[in-house]
Amino acid sequence: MKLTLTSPQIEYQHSLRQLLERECTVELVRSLRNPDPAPVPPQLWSALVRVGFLGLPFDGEVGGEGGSLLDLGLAYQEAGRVLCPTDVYSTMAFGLAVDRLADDDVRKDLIGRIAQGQLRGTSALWHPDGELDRPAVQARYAAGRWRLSGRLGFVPNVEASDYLLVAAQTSEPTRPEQTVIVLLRLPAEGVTSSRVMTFGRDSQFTVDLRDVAVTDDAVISRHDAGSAEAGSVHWLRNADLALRCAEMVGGAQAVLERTLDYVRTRHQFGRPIGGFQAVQHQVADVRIGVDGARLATYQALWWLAEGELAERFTVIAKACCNEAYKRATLTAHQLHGGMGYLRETDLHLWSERAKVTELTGGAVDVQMRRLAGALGLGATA
Amino acid sequence: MRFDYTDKQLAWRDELRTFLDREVSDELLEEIRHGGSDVRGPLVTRFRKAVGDRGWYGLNWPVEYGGLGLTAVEQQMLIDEFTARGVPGPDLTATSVAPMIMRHGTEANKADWLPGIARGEITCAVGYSEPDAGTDVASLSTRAELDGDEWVINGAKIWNSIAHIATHEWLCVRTDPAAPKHKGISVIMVPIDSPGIEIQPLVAWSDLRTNLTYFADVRVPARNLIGEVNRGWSYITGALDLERGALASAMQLRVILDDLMAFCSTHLLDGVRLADRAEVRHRLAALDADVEVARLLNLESASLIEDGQVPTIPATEAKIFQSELRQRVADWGTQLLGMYGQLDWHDREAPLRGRIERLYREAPLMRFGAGANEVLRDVIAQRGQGLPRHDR
Repeated sequence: MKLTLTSPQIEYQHSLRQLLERECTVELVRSLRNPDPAPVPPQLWSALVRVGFLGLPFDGEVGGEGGSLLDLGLAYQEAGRVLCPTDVYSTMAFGLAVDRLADDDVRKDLIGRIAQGQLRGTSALWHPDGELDRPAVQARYAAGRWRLSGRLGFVPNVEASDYLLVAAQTSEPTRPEQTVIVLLRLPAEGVTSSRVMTFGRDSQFTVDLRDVAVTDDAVISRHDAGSAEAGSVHWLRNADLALRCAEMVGGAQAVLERTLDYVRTRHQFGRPIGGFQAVQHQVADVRIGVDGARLATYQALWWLAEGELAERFTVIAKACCNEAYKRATLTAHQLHGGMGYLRETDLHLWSERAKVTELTGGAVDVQMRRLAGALGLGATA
Repeated sequence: MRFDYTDKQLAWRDELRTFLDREVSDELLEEIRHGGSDVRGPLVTRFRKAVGDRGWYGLNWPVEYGGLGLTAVEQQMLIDEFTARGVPGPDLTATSVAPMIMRHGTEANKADWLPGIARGEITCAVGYSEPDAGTDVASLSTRAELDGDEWVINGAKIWNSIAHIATHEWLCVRTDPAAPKHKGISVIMVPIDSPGIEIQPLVAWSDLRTNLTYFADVRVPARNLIGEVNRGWSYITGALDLERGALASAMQLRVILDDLMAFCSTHLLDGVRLADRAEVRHRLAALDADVEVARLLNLESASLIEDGQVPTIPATEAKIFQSELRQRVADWGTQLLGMYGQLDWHDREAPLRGRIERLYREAPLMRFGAGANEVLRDVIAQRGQGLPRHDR
């Protein structure tokens, strides 16, 4: 039992922080927003390749860096601080799913290219609010081909992606329903997407699949509910959630630091406002929340890296991060007053990300329902 | 970084559990239930001796001071295992006073006090607060004056818990009234049976006894002064940092919450299984998440101690978080139980033998004790985040 990071982990985070502060400035973040989202600049992407970010959690034999999920989480934490473009997260989630579900040939091909920065992907394997319901897409098999139809909501970065990994429910008259995970090369016939307008101005899309025809080769997993492969999807969902938590911890830390800088230097009544007890207590509460969220997140990542589902720990982490990040931003608004309210002050960029990440993967009601289930408190009725 | 116990730690936990299986009887638990932590009946005394015989009160001290050389994490494991069984673990004497003697005491201090503390034979009431010096402890006015080779002490200490069962008083006194208030304070070990000491009981809302202790011309040998004269303020603040850490074991809340969840899942209250209600499940889950966070905050502090750091800020965060969570567990717990939440623990129908209502009455202490949470938030902001003091 040891809840402190090792020296190499701290050093890696530190070097990544310096790189991202240089390559992912707030000006860049702002330039990537609406109305026409610009593609992520090649310079940032190649910097991420250079430090091994994009290959971090994958084995050396498929072209990765051989790090753990916790290592990737530490990288996400740094990315979260600077509001790194979400293409990084959707590509890594795609890569983790391919790595876990696909056969070796596909893994070597795709993971290697992800690590080299040559491929971007996105995925829709569960409901965006984190529920593992029946997939929204139907898969019918006819004449040697699968045909996929359905609508997917809130899929990130589809238009910048080379691949879309999608879960579908089979519908065959003679066989029980199964889930298939299909690898779609984009653009694909029958796949259309339209961008939704989010208040964070990030790139999320509604994706329509109309009779999209794919061969068996494209199906990288076909499984029954309750099978080991369904467990793999569950693990992927939790890993994605825990990684998102790490991003949220980083974002919350950045907001707290901005706020501290402000209250140390802003003078009113002849003294720094950070000297007032009412201000200090709000700062202390943010700090306590962020530290709890950080530890809960590391715990979830560590157990997931050990191969566990870590259902309870993951959900606890998400519940903590939801609150900690949001509270950091809303407290920051209160302590900055008007000086944090103007768009030109940038604070709102984090405030929007805090709300987006809270809703994605589930806000408090989703987490408490899942946690009650993990605790065996389900209703008998 | 590792979130699981090592094999060595698991073996240690097995050793603890084997010991507790053997030593904890229903009779011992009943004695504790009726007496609380302020009574030391014959069975508790015997249990404490069994712990002391193993040197477990000093388990994380260096071997040279009579300790076992184990780590802060292993001490946390002991406290957790003991708490889970509802029996007393090491008190502040072992977790907060002794480390200050090791760090600041003279060689004579160490020889005089540490072996007895390790065996559990010496236990101290901590004399910080006075009727007119509460949160502002540094304004204390109890005086000690050197007369030949003896200190002569006059004054009074309040919130002097366990003075009536302790062997000694870890007493903070003013030894230089002319110096600035933080610079004229010393710490003296005072045998509690010294002539001139009068202990008056004060009974708290929680039923627990604390004391108002008077010192009138109490004489103790000069060698009982800890470390150097007039340097006591740093010893007290160091001890208070450790006290916060030691108070913060989340295991008591874990046990109560687990029992509350089991109760809500299995018992019918007026024909209703509480866990069938979504709002009950939601509240229990929210408490479960927070109790887990409290556990992690403590473990982080223990890990930092293992790394040779003094975890002032993490331990302070843990104290604030846990003390407020404690109140919330008790508050929500009584609410979930509806009208039954008010039943006193003596009532035969009290759910969970009244532990929730007792917790509700015990919880305020942790919020204002060992540094009021308001002051501790200042500590986090000022010492942890570098914000200015209020007077600057």
